[in-house]
Amino acid sequence: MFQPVQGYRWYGYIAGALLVSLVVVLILQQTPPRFRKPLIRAITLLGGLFYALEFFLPTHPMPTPEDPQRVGNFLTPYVVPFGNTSVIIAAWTVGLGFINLVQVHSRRLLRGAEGAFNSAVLLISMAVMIVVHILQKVHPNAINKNLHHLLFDGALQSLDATMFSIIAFYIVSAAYRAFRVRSVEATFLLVTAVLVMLGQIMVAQAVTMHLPHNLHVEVIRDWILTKANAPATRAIAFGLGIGGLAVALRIWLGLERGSYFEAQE
Amino acid sequence: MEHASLTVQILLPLISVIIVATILMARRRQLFIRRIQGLTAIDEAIGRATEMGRPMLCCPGLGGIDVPTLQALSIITYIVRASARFGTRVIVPVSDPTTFPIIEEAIRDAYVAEGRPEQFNSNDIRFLSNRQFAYAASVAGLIWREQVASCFLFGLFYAESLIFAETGQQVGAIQVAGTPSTTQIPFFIAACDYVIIGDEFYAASAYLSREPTLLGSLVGQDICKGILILLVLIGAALVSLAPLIGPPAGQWFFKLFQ
Amino acid sequence: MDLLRLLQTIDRRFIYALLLLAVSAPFFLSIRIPVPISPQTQALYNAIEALPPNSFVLLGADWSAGSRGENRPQTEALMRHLMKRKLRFALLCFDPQAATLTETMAKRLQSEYGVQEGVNWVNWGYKVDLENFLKALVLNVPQTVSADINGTPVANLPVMQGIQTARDIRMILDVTPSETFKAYIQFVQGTYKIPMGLAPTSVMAPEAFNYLDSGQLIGMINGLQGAIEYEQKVGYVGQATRAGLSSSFAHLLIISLILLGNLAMLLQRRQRARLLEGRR
Repeated sequence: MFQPVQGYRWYGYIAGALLVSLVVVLILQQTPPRFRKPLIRAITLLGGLFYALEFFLPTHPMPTPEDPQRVGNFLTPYVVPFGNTSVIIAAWTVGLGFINLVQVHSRRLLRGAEGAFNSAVLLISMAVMIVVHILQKVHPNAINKNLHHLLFDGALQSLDATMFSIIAFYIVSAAYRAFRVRSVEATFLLVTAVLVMLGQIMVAQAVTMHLPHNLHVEVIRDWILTKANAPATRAIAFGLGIGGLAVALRIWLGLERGSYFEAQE
Repeated sequence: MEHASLTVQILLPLISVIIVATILMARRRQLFIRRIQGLTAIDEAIGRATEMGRPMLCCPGLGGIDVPTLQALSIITYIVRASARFGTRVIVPVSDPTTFPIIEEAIRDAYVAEGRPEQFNSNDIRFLSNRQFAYAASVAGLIWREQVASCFLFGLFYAESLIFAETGQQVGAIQVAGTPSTTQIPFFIAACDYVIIGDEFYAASAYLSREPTLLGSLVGQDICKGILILLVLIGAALVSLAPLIGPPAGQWFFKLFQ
Repeated sequence: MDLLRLLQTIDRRFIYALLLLAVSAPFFLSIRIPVPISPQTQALYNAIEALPPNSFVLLGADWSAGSRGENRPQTEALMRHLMKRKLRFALLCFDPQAATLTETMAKRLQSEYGVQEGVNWVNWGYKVDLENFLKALVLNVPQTVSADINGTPVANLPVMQGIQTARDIRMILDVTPSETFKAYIQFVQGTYKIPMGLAPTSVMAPEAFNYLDSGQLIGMINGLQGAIEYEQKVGYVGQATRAGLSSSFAHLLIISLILLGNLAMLLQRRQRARLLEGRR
């Protein structure tokens, strides 16, 4: 199903897909607003129905040369090609995000407004990164490779790591501020947090190693994590799962009301 | 590809039917919903920003077009509508390009719905970066530069949650957060003023809008949670009583959920 | 300012400086403290040890430079174990940085264990759209992956011989700072009940315990602490062991600050109560 193609056929398929997309966009734009919402609802319903049916319909053996024991139903072969459309949509929207970013910052730069210098840095960095990456792909010579290495591994990765490491500083100040014995519950929270943290300290582990097994800090830590914390997160996950399912159902069946959907009469 | 097991084939449609049934029922009957402190605080935070004449920041997190982000958008549009009435500026930094046009459109609609289309400023709905920490740095920078009075953090968050919350705390912003990412809740609790925990996040739109459909859905969710609790209790009882009644009953029950 | 009040409101910049000191001071110490092995680390180690020779393992690496502190030693420990046991493995990354970071690591380690790229291991490189890629991978591995990070068609590589669908993968390992492991469980592990191990950051671990209890995960390397344990099991002193003392000092600092703040608060409360009693 939808096997990759090469050569002229590939260009033909791309051109055909672009043409079809253009026609669809034009039709959508010409559709009167009162028909747009029902249309979107119908597409949402159909899209959701496809995945729901594929998941619920009885399965049977679907042997293929690669996998003689494979099971599925008549919709299974279409799951991957349908899913690929989301990648294509995502790729297009990256362009939208890019345009917005350039618009906002070039406007600020042209106006010479406050923060124009930051905008200039952003636009230049973005342009340099794109150019260097393309150059490295098209002409992978030593200069381009080194430039790419310098920007991607040297700058981007270090900046990423720096931002992440800031969390360590923030967690210390936040913990210092938040963990106060203001109530019985807060005291429980504090004691539990201290016990879990002690379980992470090698020295504390070494010190309690000679105590009875149940008093080892790492045993206490594991007990808290697996017997107290895990059931609590599981319970929250149950609630979240059902909550998520309810929102998904409302959107799928066109029952969603309020906020970005129309209010109820 | 994984397909529904027998238990899922029974449970999932059952839960769905209950939720849809309560939605339909709610359209005819008034339903009660308890007070959720964190959501009541939203109005307080909007009021504070208005009084101080400083902007507010609504962060929809790192999610793409998924249920948590759509739910976050639902809360954000409520905040935008409320702030439009007072003329308070709202900044929405976006990390996912796929959600960007949806968020922009929803916020534009919110201003139009309040009769203040002129207040919509496309510069305030910004796509920053889809890289987690580039986004985190940009949002932290925005909080500092704009000296926001209120921060609303709703959606999917990961390690960057504390960067946002702690930066907001440093500029003295009142902060309300809600996320289905259970691992980030402790960070929000440590650094934010109000936190919406667990499925309260999905109750938010019902609580804020009081739309019968959403209230009905909420009641349906509670009934479903009751069913799950019952199943957990049955499972626990079967395991505990296994020495008395013999293990086959417990094993049969567990096989259903494997 | 009153000392008790000062201890409750220590300037955050001072706290940051203390943390910097606590983390960097152990770099100059060479103390090695053996750590007890947690059950989940032991379980993962045992599961890899039990794999038949030449089994094919999928090693997902979905981290970037940000979480390198925890995820890099975890990846290295697992990679060393796989190379040591001469198990075939494929690196799969849903983060562009991970693809190059793990490639460098594997190339550095391969000569030490006498293994070869393309024969014993392959880097499938950076792939987009986690869920859809995994769905496709389950059905047809060579067609979905197509080429490795160097552009070589994977179907021609000796390491990929006999690997047609996810059914041929003997174990899945995911090193991640996020929730990518849930997609692996949902779309790959669940389909063919392939044993799966996880190496999350400490902050993500609490959620993963649920999947350990349910049996969907067979073992776990829990953050840096887990990496220290795994390095000990594999038998080398790595980055995690060296960073372990810094992590311990940082935790000690947090505990000390919390206790100090609380002590000051309680003493101040008592002081106030006495003052009020005196006035009465």
